Amino acid sequence: MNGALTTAGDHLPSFELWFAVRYLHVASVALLVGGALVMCGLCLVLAGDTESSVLSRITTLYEWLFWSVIGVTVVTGISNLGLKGEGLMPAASSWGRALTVKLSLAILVLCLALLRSDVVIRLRGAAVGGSARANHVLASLYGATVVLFLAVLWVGLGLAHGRY
Amino acid sequence: MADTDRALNLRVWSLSTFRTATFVIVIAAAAHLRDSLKPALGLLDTRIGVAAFMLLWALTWYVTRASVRRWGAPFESASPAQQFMTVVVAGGFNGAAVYLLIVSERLFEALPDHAMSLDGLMRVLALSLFGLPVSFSVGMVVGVAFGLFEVLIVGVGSMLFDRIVAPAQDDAALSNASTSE
Repeated sequence: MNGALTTAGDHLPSFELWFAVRYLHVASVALLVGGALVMCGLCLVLAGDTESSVLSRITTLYEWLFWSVIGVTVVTGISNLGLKGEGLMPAASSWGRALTVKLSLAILVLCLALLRSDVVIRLRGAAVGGSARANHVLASLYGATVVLFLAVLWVGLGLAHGRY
Repeated sequence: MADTDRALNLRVWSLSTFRTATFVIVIAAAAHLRDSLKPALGLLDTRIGVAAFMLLWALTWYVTRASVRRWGAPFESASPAQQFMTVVVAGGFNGAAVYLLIVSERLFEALPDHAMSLDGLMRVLALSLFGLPVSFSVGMVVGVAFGLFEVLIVGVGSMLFDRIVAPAQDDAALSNASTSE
């Protein structure tokens, strides 16, 4: 992914393109992790408030946001790999193994997110959306999302800053 | 009704994005494990790569929406076998749509400059007689893999939901009983 927007005569990506791709990737991940953390906290704080439908509306909003932003995260992540060019190491190297782990963790994040969205949609459709038990289950799912995302982030930072 | 529609829209949005994003990551991971990620990404430039992803996303959303809406009843009420078949068929249509998109792009590129003769055009159309069913079949194979995953995930979601709902319904029944007394 490093052909068209390159500096004249060489095959290096322009700084603006590299910066835009990286910025969008990091900003979208930050938004998703921060959002999941806030959702986890809200589910715990509002666990006793079984009458209000506010939480149901906020969780639905986050799910919409999540699935919109994760697309941006994935496409900028792959673009970022393309912009690395010669910096991409073989799969057998320690950097390559770390990338394999990161991609596997990203798939796990997506599977967990699909499960979480499924539960949110079912709860919104049922009358038990505001029960304390429902809010605890949602808090666990958002908490697991944060933990998995932080693991991806940790490996990603290592890949970007030469830890491997 | 509006609430049901909103839930269905979120279901379609989550499923289509899950399918697109996971598909792209799996392809990238497979290329990486075969050490062919660098040359594969070198063939694309960033703008074309992003545009291709967006098109695949839009196509997958459209096909997923059509398959889920065609089901009619709430998605949750479908049996695992029905959910699985919906994903497999959607995968087939997705594969065919991707094939049509690639052929259309080639034709769109070649026709204005008269770079393709009428013979060439006929060859492309004749090739599509095989290309379409093959891409449909490849899409269905991908659909089988996704179907198994999604049925498993939705099954776990259903189990979790049942564990939440059962005690809540018991509580409601108890509270109703005590009020009537």
